[in-house]
Amino acid sequence: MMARSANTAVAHDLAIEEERLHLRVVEPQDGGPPHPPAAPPVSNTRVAIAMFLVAESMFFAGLVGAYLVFRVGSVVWPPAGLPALPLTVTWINTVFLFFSGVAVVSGLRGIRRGDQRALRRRLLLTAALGAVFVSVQGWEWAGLVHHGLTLSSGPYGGTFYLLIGTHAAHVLGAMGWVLWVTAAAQRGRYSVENHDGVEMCAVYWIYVCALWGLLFGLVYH
Amino acid sequence: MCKTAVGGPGDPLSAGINASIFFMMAMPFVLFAAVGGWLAYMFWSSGRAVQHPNPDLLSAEREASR
Repeated sequence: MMARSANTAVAHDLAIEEERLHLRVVEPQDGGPPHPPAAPPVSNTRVAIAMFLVAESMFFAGLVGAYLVFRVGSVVWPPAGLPALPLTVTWINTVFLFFSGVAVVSGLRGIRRGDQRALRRRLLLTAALGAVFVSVQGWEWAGLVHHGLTLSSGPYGGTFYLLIGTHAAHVLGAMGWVLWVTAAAQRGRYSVENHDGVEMCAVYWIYVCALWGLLFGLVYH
Repeated sequence: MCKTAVGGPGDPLSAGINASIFFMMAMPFVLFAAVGGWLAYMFWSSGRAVQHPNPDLLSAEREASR
């Protein structure tokens, strides 16, 4: 009897806690509106962005695999007679991209505490730094092409432009997404309770930045 | 792969293809482990919130429900 009453008390306590955490729909006894249904531990938004990033990772894995075939399979890499890659300028460019990641995280934190102005400013800063990154890369490429490294310069040139160019295309796409989110933020779409769009955009931008770190280490060194 | 396309064990192209194959075969497992670990952590941390409620809060709510 005492054991049963103890179990009943535990079950009752758990039921109270589940109700408090909105983990099950409860019809209130006073006839008021029902509590909202439970939120899953991982939101659909986060699952969606995770699946998207997995697909992107496999896409880049294929490109990196092709690069590895030629790089590991060559006795001399880079091949003789081709211009050296501009390491110093690319390091500085990498710092710009890193700070763009810091800016987008700062914007996400801003909307989490309800600061709309911080969100808009940080998103614009993110897009601006991304534009600087892509512009500097374009300038680098112009120099490399002028010195003889083109798409048809054998596997070295082909894999370089393919890998780095694909990443640059993803940066441009991410910039478009950031600008779209910025426009939505200007219209007051996001709030403390509803900013999943900002979170998805920030996660993708950070992914693009982290991917650059890997590609920079692989291709430029 | 065709034997005539790839040289013997000492051929660097063989090493390159080997490295590429290992890398691409490992990637799905790495991604599965990363995403699966993240999901497991999210479910585990939400489960802990139910199993270990605040005892002070429970006592107050138990008193209020009596």
